[in-house]
Amino acid sequence: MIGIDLVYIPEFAKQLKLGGDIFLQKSFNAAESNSKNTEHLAGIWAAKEAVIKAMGKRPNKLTDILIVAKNERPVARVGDHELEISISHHGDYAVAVAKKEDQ
Amino acid sequence: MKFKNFTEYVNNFGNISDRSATTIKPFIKTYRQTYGEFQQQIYRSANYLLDQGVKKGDRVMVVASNCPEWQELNLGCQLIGATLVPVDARNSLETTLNFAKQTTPGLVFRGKYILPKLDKKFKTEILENYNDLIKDYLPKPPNIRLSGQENAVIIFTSGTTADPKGVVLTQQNLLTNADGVLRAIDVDPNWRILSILPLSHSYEFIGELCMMAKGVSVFYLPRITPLAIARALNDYKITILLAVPQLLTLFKQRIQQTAILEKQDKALNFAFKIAPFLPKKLKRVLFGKVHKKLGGKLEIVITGGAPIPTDVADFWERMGVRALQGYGLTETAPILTVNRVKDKFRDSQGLALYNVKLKVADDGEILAKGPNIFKEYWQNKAQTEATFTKDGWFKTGDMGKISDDGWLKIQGRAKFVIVLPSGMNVFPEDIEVVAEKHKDIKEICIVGVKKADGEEVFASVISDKNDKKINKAIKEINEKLEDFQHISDWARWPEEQHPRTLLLKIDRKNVALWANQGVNKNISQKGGSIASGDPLVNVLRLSLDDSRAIISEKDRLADVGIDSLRRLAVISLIEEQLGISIPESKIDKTTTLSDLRKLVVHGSHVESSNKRPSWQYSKPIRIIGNMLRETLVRGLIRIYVKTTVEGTENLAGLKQPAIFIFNHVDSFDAPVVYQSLPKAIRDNLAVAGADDMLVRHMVLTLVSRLFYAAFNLNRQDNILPSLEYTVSLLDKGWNIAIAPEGHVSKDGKLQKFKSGIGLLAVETGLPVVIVKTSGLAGTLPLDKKWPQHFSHVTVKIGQPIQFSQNTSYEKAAKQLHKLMAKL
Repeated sequence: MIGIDLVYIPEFAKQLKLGGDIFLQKSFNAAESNSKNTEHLAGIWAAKEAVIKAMGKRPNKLTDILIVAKNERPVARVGDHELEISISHHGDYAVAVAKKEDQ
Repeated sequence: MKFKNFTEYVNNFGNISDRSATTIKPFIKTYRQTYGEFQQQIYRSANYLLDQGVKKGDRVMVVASNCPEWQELNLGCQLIGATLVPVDARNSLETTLNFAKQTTPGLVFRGKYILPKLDKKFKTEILENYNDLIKDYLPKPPNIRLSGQENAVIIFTSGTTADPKGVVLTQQNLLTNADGVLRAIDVDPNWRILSILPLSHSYEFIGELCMMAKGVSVFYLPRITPLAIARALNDYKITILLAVPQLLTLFKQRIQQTAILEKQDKALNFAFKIAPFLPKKLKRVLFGKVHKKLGGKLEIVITGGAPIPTDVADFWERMGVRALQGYGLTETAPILTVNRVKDKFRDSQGLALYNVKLKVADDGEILAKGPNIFKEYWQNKAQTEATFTKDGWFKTGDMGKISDDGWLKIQGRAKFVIVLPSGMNVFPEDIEVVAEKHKDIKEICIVGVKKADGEEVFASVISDKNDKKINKAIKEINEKLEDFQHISDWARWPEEQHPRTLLLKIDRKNVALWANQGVNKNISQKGGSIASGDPLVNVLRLSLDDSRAIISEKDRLADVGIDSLRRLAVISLIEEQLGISIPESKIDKTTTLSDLRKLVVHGSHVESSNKRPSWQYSKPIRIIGNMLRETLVRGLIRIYVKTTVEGTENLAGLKQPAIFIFNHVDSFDAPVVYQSLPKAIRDNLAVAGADDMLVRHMVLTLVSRLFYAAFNLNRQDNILPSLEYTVSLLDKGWNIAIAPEGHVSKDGKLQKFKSGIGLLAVETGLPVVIVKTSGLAGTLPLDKKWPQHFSHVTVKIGQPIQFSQNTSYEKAAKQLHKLMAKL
């Protein structure tokens, strides 16, 4: 299964500003929000939404999905699953694709 | 306390060097400094500024929210005779550039996320980096003589007007005003003040100056929201606040709403009825529940910026909190009058400071004289001259009365007085006080509307009632007013709230403009069954960025445009503004507004502080616990485990507190690690245990707390509160032992580290020591009650390592993992 998500960065930035620290804590794990760069965070957000689509269901909390770099490539960890993902930015948009291996 | 100049002012910190000066918690670590340390930072700051080429009389601009660095910069500027231009961080780029154009600052300091575009036009630095910028400079007073006549600050008034005026206050203006305030208010050095109003406003500026002169502890917030304030009141046991009346009104409403939700409103009303007959101590007992939410220590709130509504002041007084109000303007540096703590509450702005002279001019305008009156408007001679009478009195622009024994009562701004065709003067404030008490009126703003022969009294109304009801309300209000004060006409303000100034006063000027341009009365009556001012609808509208969005109870949030991104923003906003936490998983595509409302009503109130047992950290318990551990427990463990320790020499010269991390293979590992460390460390060592473990096994919990000063880490849900607690223990000087793998390794192999350990190491910057055991696995497996076999264990202690602030948490965790694997 694959999943894709597109984030309009200015809108993301607006919601991030609105929700403040609480939004940040609810959306990202400490390791993910280490950099407070909005574009970077928008990319991670897109990746998480793509992972949800690939998994076919939403976890209890967005922080249950962890986006990390593995061998210089980003991967998503959800429970025991590991999904390949790819993130890209251009201009006002961030896009991410996630692929879950069929069992 | 009289200071001739800021050299003397900062010198004074030497007399109170051991007192706590400033505290801030930007993330999970709390940064504190004593007045001694604060003084050194100010000296470094002054030397840094000199080195940057800032000279006497030069302007330095700061656009940032309140923090200790703000004051270090401010006082550093003062020491070298430079002039600080503080700008409210909420101003627009355009306004800020306008201020900068007038004052031509050589150096601009801005908050990390504030107006990055300033960097293109000015030499800018980030205020959050200030301590880094100044760290290599000498903590010695700069060799600069000050007369006290130096321009200390230029504060701009009402940035929204076409030509903002920069008020120039000298060092003497500020210091004599502080002296006057300190004579009027007996500041107790043990007070704890929360800094919430912007320091760019003269009221907070002078307030902190006064408090710091006495050695009061000042607490700063990284982000100012009602929830953050409520938490800080509790966490820091705040005793005093400087606030705008709006904040007290907001708290009053919240207290009343909570009472209704908890079905305690009758009890609350009863308590308010009997409160006036009780002494202060009993009042505080009576309202114990409310006080507990306010941290339990709040004693005094001093309001400024606008007159406080009498019913709001009365509300606080009845609960046993002194609500004092003062009066002044930026031009008067700023305090002219204030109520004294000892005096009984009265509806007045108080008595003049000892060094301020007040009088009322023939037309009712209040005039003032004193050493605190400003020098001039920046580069605006004509304006300066226009604000003084011929014999040198400053014209405040406010109308008021002074009683025979000196009590001042402000009636309103001269420019907003409504002059009727009959020549009678009407003060909008007098009408508003009466009108706001009407139950069908949410907010009202009275302005004059020009007619051929004079003005008429006009009301801009915010209410969720229909026109008929409002007409009736206006009639009832008029019955309570003098004949000449009657409201002639009204209209609904077209938005949710009246426009406000940065100090949250209703922006009367803009309302008057709107009223005079002819109001379209139908504008706000767009169908829609939702009551305006419903906090939930407001939150949704905020997220949708559409202040008129119509959302009905049956609407699915997804259908009105609340996607997954906005959903989380909404949940965050509800948590922040209402203090109610809703699980993310409870809201999905099918959730309607009415579902959301139910969730909010049943949602859990966010706990304001960590409720964790702390008896294990009391001195007597530690003495007993340590003694038993060293004898009995140690002996018992030795029966099963023989230990060889290597690398103890790595701990020589270790700066405590430190973080010890160990591999998790067995129930015995924490005790073994504990016993392998030198006594000086282990007697002051707290072990982190998993929440679910400690809760499930009562005996184990007691034992681990008693012998190993254990505390629980929550590894399931939000990890931040647990980490915050860990940092608070480190702050108190405890060493921490923690197993970063999170779970016991089933095969004895080292598992991946949780990134939380990285966060702890990076954010605290404390040394981390790796302690690795081998040969222990299987001695006392988690699921067994008794040891299974004897073992010989080798414990290796590594060299302490520290991480710099900009290391990523993940990287730090990985590096620690690598080091432990290698050891």
